Amino acid sequence: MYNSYMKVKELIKLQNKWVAFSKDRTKIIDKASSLGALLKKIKNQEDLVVSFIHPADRYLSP
Amino acid sequence: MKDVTFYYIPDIYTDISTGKTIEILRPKIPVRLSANFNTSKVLIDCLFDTGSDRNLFPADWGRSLGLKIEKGKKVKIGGIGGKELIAYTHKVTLHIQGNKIITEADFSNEQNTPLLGRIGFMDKVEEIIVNQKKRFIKISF
Repeated sequence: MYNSYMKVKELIKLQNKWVAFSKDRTKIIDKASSLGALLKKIKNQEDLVVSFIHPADRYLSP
Repeated sequence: MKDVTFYYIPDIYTDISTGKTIEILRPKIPVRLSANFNTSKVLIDCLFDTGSDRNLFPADWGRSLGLKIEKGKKVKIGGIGGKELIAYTHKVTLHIQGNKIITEADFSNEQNTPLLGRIGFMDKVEEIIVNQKKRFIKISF
């Protein structure tokens, strides 16, 4: 079942950023404006999940 | 055959009729990547994109594994809006909940959202079921 683990107001602050979450996605571990910078900051820690939070002002149509 | 299910991941967008920023759920699959004899420890959410011909990843992901991105085969990638990207192809292994997919991916400095496409992902698994109403993807390996 889908679980809304992160509130919209929290995601708004993270838009256009790469974010490292705990594995259950309930905690923000770190964030950066590029994936390379984030991976350096978190030093490839295990059990993290990294996601790009797309800017809210546009639809996603890759 | 082994099945794994992934529920859609919350993201945000601004509703054009109300102007409010609301939650949108997108089909993303957490992937661990191997290349160049290195394996990433973190999982990275990749958008499942049936409209994408091939896998397309941000170059930084490959660099973090020691890949010399620009040494790969140079390819041009065209988007829906006509925007053209330059990418470089490398051999990689995708790890999805303990299942390995040996494949290729294109890496671009101009791409943020990692995309899992038809060639190199969808054609490497037995079956993929997308349930938009219940917001999940089931992959059979």
